[in-house]
Amino acid sequence: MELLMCVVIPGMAYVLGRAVNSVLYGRKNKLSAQDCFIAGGMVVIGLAEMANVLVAFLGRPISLGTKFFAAALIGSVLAALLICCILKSKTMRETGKRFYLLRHQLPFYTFVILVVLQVVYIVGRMPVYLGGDMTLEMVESFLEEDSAYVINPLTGQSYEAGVPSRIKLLCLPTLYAMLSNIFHVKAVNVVWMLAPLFTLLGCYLVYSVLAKILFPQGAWRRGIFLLMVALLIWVGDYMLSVDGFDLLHAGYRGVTIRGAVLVPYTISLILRKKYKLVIVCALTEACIVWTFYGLGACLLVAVFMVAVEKVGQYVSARKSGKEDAVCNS
Amino acid sequence: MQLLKNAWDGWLSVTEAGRLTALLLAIIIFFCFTKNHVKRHLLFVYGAVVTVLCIFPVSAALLMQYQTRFYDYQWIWTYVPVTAMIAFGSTVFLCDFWENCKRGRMQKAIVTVALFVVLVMCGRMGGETYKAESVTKPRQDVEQLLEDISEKREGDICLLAPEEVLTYARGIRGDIQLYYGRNMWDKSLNAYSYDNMYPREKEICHQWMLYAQEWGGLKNSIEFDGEKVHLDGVECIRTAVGQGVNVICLPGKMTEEALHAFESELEMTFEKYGEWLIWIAQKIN
Repeated sequence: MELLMCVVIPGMAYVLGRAVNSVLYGRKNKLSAQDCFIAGGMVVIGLAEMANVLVAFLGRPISLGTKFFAAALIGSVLAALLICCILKSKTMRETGKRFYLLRHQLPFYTFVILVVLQVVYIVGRMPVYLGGDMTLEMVESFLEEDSAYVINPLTGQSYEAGVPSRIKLLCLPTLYAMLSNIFHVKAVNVVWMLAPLFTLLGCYLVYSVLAKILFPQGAWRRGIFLLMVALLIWVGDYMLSVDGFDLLHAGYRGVTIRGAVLVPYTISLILRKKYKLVIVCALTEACIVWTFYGLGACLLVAVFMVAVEKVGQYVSARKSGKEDAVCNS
Repeated sequence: MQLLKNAWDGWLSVTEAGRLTALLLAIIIFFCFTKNHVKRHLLFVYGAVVTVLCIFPVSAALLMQYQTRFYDYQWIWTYVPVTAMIAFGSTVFLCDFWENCKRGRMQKAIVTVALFVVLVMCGRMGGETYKAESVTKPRQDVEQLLEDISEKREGDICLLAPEEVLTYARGIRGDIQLYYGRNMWDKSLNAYSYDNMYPREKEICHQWMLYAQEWGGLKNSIEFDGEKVHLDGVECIRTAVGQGVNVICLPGKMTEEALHAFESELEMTFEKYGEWLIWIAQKIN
């Protein structure tokens, strides 16, 4: 069933992402398969948030939330397929999709080996860092009680004072509980094995997009870039909040998804001037991480980057204006 | 002022654990002083600006306020694309070096290997501040223990046990109650709910359990919360049972004196189970 989940969820995410990109950017969107997977993943989180509101705020059972989530997911995928069918032939003809291959490149092969080692490390050893997190206890409590936030996950006893609403708003524990229900996978495998795998692969999808943006002509340089990223993931295994440690030991946490997937993806979107998807990133972040009333890292990064770009353009314009004045005189 | 101090202390702790931020600074400084297109790239300029903002205490404090007090200083580094910038800078450097340097292949290879060694040395290098061991074996042991306990006792279970058991218990079985949870020793977990204060007797019980884990003894005196506290295993267990605990797991190294005291004063006989000693209350129908 774990394998089924590994196939079904990414497949659904791809279809959803393709439809989202087509709707947001039209037929000539020039967004790659990696963008589709990531956008689709954000849609899945959005649907999970809707189910989370039902469960955490309206007090409905987790089983009902699961049915709602499954129905919403299937409905969205069907709608996405319809949208893709309507736009498909025009997209394929007009964009003339290119697929660059990095075969026969030593850096790329080395990168693949490093990624495989990381996957084996996460799945085989399950080296989880438990400090400051109780996601698995929450998921087990939700599944046991068939409801959210009625008992304290750490003790199993009823809450006396309760939980802040801003914690209830975070949908990841509910998402993991629903996935566990749908695919009949143990909560520990969903939280400590599959979720970190999805996050790790999502991270590499983002960095492969960044590689294409930063090195548009050089396949060799893209391979080196990806190899460096994989090495940095291993090397960064020393402190919580560093990408390496977060991905290898806490990949199920919202802060990891934010730091390793959403923020780099936001940067890639700003570099390509795809601002609409940035809003989707910001909304996704608000669903999985405690933010300042919805204002999170993605929004701050986007605003800062645009500000830096505008200031840079202004300074360049002034410099070239002065040079023209000097030349003319 | 406290926020500024936290910001500065946070920066010191970030640089202490590993050196990737130092490598990032080295790359920023290197490209600032070269005639390379990298320093005009938006990613590089943005990264350099935000890195500086994260280091200086005033701007770092503002960023910490923005991310809310739920998170510590180190999380403001989420705004800096550390991995992307280091990978970008080192890729450009390495590729330009191999293409433009007129030295022999062997010399270029040596320089490349040296740079990779520097990269690896920027990591953990044996630092133990954040440790994440494999949880598979300890979790399996606790899972087996809970299964056997469930076979011997029907109905609800309220468990008092050492930290190594309580750490995994609620993650294995959502139906088991604990006398106290992980937030007894991991105070950061208190941010997740308003229920974050344990009664004094539970804290004392936890202190005794820590003492029992280390020495296996029955009684001890310690300094706790600024006052002298007498730890007594018999009293701790009596109080716990009075508050509903019906399964007790003790470290296997408990002394004969302690076990004798439990038997004579509490009428509890502990059975050996692996590395632990277990007592299970029989359910009264």
